[in-house]
Amino acid sequence: MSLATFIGQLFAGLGLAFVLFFTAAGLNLVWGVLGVMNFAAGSVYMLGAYLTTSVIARLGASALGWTVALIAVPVAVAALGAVAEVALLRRTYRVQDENRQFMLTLALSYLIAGAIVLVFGTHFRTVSLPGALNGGWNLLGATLSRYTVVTIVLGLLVTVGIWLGLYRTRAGLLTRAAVDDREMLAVLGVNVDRLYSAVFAVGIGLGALGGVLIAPQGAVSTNLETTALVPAFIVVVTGGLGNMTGALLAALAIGILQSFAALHDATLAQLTPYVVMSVVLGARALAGRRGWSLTGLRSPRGEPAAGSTAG
Amino acid sequence: MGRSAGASVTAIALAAIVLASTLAGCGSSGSGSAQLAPGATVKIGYLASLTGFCSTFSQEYVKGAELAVRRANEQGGVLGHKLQLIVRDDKATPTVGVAQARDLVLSGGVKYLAGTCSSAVGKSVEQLVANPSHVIYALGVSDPTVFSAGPEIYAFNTIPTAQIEGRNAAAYIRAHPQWKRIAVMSEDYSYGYQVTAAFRQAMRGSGQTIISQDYLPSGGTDYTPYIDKVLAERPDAVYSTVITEDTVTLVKQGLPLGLFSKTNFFGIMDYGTIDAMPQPPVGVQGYTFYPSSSIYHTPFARELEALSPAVANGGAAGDAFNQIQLIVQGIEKARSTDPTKVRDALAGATVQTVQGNVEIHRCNHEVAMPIAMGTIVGPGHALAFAHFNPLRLVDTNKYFEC
Repeated sequence: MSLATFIGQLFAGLGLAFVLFFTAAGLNLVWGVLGVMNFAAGSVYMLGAYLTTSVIARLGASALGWTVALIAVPVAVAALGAVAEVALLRRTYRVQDENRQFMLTLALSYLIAGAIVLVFGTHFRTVSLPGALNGGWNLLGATLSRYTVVTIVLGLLVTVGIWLGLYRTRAGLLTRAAVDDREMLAVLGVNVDRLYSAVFAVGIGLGALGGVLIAPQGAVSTNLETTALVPAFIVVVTGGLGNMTGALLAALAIGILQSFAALHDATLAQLTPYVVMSVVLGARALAGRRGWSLTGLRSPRGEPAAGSTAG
Repeated sequence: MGRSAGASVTAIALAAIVLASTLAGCGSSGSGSAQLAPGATVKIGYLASLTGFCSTFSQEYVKGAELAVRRANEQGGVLGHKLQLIVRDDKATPTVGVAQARDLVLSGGVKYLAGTCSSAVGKSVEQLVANPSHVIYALGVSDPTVFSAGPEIYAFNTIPTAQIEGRNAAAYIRAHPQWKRIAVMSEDYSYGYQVTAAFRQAMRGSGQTIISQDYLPSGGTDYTPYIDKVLAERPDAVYSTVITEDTVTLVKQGLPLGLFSKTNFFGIMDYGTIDAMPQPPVGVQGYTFYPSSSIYHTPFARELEALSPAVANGGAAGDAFNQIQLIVQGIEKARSTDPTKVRDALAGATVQTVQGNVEIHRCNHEVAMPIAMGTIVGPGHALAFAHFNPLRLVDTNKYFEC
């Protein structure tokens, strides 16, 4: 393998990994803190992509249009997420009924998908990039898509932002505490309901951000929902439910391995996420561990979050 | 004549009438009277994949079918019968498609079916309509095995199959013997596999080498690793069967990486996708087997264009239009609404379509639709959107093996 090929595949894999990570991170945050497996994550991702096409259609494919989309779309979708949490999901925490939560998020996913078809129609939509992000850069003989490089940089920034938010802020401290013992946090006078709403909104916003970033890379269609949800679940399960660092490592492993597997066989590349997940789960089972607790949301003891059942 | 003799004559006459009626019934249909009563409506059940795979084009199919029905009714219907379109969602799923078709035929009295974008649905419904229902089914799907049972089937195909498409692509590549190393990029589902298989078979003995074939995930959002991989192999040419909105993704991600500048690219480029691209791959050789109306400039095409450029160029509307037209012309040619007579009248006939007059092959009921090929140019070359210029219509009759 030439150096140029290696660099090309590495960057393609990193681009793939960070888009995966955005949706998975949102899913993981909601699971880790709220104990809710959000089956609407794919629809949220799709909604982010569709709203981006609307913003770009109004403001143009300029730097301004893209900046507005990058900020406004995740914020708007996060706000919708907060409303859904307050109006619907909150009612399910007290009864601790996971089936009800599952059905509720599934229903939400159908509602979002249906609303998208009603508003945007069934035909796919496309948007273009600002001129500066079109084209490629040469690096040691490899041609790198500028947009992929921008996605990687944004991914790194968001990852750092998540880490700072969780480990360098009071809100992050409370969030991590809520994972371990929600009741104790409430006894200490923390408004846990508000904390949950905020966490759910951030999780939804991260998923929408993935949709924003994917929108200019291809056709925005109703197929996006399924193409996002399954890989995101694989990343979350592979990384360890509720483990943010694990999710990042899983996304990186899957993205990069998938990219290099494509050199040998495209079908093998598509199987990569499943192979990685099987290997990791198998290794965990052999080691008798219940999950890696590196520096994620979960407690150092590796105990599952309140309300969760798996680890 | 005595009283008993009169009774005998009456009984014989009645028996003769019953026998004649029975024989007439045997020769037509297995489900009730085959011939419609005068003035009765010709019901056409349309299987549209309103949800599920390929739902992005479902509305185009429906609009094209509606236009054809409206047009026929404005001209007085067919043999004095008005047409009625009944649209059902097959969800691009065989079990749903068969259930819908069965309901239309058994409960709705439908003797004509059309539509679906899914070969799997088409294959299942074809088996249903062949026996025992005897219902005409006009559809446009790529899987040649749907029509492989021979001339007794009641289904008619309105687009070139994957076999024809692969052979045509091979003919184009073979016409460029200087391209020695060929890479193939296909969709990772039956369509992609069938086109690639036909292409490979038709390339045998060409002296050109297929250095790789990659099946890209359908509906994938990131094709960058596959594009990088193909370019790293330094092919002289790339043949792509990546279709519908996946074409948009391939083009968007391939442009900055040099997929269209570092090698000779040739692939399916439907008008509905290239004119939706913010930056179409200008200069690339493309083809489409769908009847995108702007290519043809026929009266049908202008009516399609009046609906909207997206409907006209998507190709699906034109295909659905052709399916309804095929049924109407079959009834006219048979001078009957009996599906078996319509089938026999259509087999081997020449019918009028959006693409002009084309022959229906008697052996497998495939309509020899032309394939449109050309160099992609941007908006401004006589049309307000990206299209082929110069345009070449390939006669696909030479690829049939009847």
